[in-house]
Amino acid sequence: MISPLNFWQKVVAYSSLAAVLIFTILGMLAIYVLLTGEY
Amino acid sequence: MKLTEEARSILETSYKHNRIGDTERQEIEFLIESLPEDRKLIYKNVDSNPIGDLERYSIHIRLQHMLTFVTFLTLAFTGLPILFLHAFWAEPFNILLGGIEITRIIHRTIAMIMIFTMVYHIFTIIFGAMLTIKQRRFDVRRTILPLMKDFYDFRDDILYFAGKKEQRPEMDKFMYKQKIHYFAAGFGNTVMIVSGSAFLFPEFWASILPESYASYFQELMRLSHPHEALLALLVIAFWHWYNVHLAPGRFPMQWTFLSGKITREHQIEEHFLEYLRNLVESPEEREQLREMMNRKGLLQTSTPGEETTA
Repeated sequence: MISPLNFWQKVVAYSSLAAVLIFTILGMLAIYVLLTGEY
Repeated sequence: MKLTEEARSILETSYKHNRIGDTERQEIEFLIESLPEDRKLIYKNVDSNPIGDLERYSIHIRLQHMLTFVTFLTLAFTGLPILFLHAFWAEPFNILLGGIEITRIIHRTIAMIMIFTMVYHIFTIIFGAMLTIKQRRFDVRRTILPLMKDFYDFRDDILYFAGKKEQRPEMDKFMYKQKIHYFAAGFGNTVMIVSGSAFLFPEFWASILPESYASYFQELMRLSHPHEALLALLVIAFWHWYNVHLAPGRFPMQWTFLSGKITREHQIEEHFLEYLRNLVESPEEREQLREMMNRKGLLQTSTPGEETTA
């Protein structure tokens, strides 16, 4: 059983999770461009 | 809990490395014997601090991860507008940084930091291994080097996920997935450094390669650099970020890269052999585990004296 995160731990964890998801989307766009050459 | 041959061997090595006396050894054996056979019962019932309970990575490894993290992302985001310099989105990006020439300089400067990180890492693992050998505590099973056991662990883990096995395999400090990932990153870094250096120092490569191959080598490097980068982006976005952020048990984030510590739950689930070493090395950990399992009524009380036959 992992204890729940406190407020600041939540801020760090969820903001980095959000950053990761944004980077993933940007990464996917980059891959689309690389593979298709369309931009 | 009855230990497998592998776990028994890890335990014996750890006793030897930590110079464990008879009394302490009996105490450890008794605790392990009274644990339930089903490891799921253990890791689902222990208390864990989300930030981490047990030491895993030194400050050097954490620094190297941080440096790789930052250089990887900045290299990807400066590399793309260099490759597609005429694209509508690349032009404002390059202007923002001060023009394509500046983007190139930034890209190369960060590349130097990435190369430094790789050298720093190689030094850390070589000197770290030398130190443990000198202290007579070296155990190859505790390193990231692939062993035959990893193939069996991979097979057994797949069987577990397919519902054909009751428990996940007992894995060591680095499991098969981490070993594949580590060597893939090492290979990727090498490709990026060699191909990048071919753009920066074409004369050097031409001088050491046979004349008829030099131009093919350049062409190959021109292809390798962006495609290896693409592969790395895919691996990081879909594989690494899934494993450390989204995977059940890790969500919303695994803190090991910051705190250097792993949660007790995670250690028992995926790195049980390393957890056995933790039990040998830390009397506090044994005390905590005993207390937690006792509180949940999960310690099997066997008759004292049986443990000495082990």
